[in-house]
Amino acid sequence: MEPTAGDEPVRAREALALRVTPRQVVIGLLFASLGFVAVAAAQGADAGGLLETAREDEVVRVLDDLAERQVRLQAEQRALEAARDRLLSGSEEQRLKAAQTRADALGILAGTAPAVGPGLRIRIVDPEGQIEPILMLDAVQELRDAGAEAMQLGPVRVVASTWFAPGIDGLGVSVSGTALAAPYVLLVIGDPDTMATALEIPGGVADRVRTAGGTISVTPDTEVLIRALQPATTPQYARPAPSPSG
Amino acid sequence: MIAALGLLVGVVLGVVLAPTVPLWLQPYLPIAVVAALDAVFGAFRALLDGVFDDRVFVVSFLSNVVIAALLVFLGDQLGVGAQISTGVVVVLAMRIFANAAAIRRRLFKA
Repeated sequence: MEPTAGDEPVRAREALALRVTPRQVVIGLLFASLGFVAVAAAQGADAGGLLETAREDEVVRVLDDLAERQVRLQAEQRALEAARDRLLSGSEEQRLKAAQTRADALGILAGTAPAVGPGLRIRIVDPEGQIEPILMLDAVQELRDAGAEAMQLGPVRVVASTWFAPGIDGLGVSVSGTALAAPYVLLVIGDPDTMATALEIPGGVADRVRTAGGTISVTPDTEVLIRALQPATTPQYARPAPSPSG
Repeated sequence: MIAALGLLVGVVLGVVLAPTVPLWLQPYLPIAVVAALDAVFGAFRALLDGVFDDRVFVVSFLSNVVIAALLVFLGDQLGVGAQISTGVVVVLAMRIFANAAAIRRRLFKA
């Protein structure tokens, strides 16, 4: 790599010549130490691995990570062992029955299974179109507070992820994207007396419907059938975490 | 020329002797090497510019190494050793790149 520029080759070429002057020797020694130390450092980094060369705080972090991971793995191990023990004990039939009971309960909760039981049929007539989504949401909340276990609003099953919004052209109510046609019919399974009382509290849902110019009729029924289903969805982000008890 | 020879001798010595780096020196060694490299690149650039001075080179070489080691030592005492090491290496690497670019321009006119 011969320099080609005009005036500097003098010095550059000078440097290439092998002349043993004290200054050159000092520079040579410096370079020798540089090469020596570089090789030593490279070998040290090679041989030692992470823990050998890492600083104190880095080692502490690695240790923390490991401890945390160990705790997680131990919890998982306990959960798995408990599950194994449960599966090993008890007959096949018992296990199936337990699993089925659990699946049924979860199906009603998630709205993926039809439900039947005592409850209320609520019919809200809204001739003036004054009923707002917030009122329907309040009604649902009130019923939940009163122990409602399954609900259907119009054709839509009400579950945890159900949402309320104004209907098309801003009037009326839509539930989870489905515009409802008045009169609104709300089917609820739960304790009929408690829920009916909850709706009739002063300033409550029934009062507000009447204030808005609508009428509300609440009919107890020993056999309310909720057929609307919520499609089962696979969560995109959430996944089951091992519970400590298994 | 004698510099290249010295470098070669040093590398050979390092490989042959395979020294064990004492533990207390380990954090400083890589930093010192990078600092020295910075001085070397600066010297090469000065050489090509025709302003190389061996006295300046020796002083800058040694002071670079000492200052870098001191910084890291200070950082270790303050509990920010890892960060200071990173900072020193980043700054020195930037200087090395700048010098390398100048050298490249001078050698290849590009």
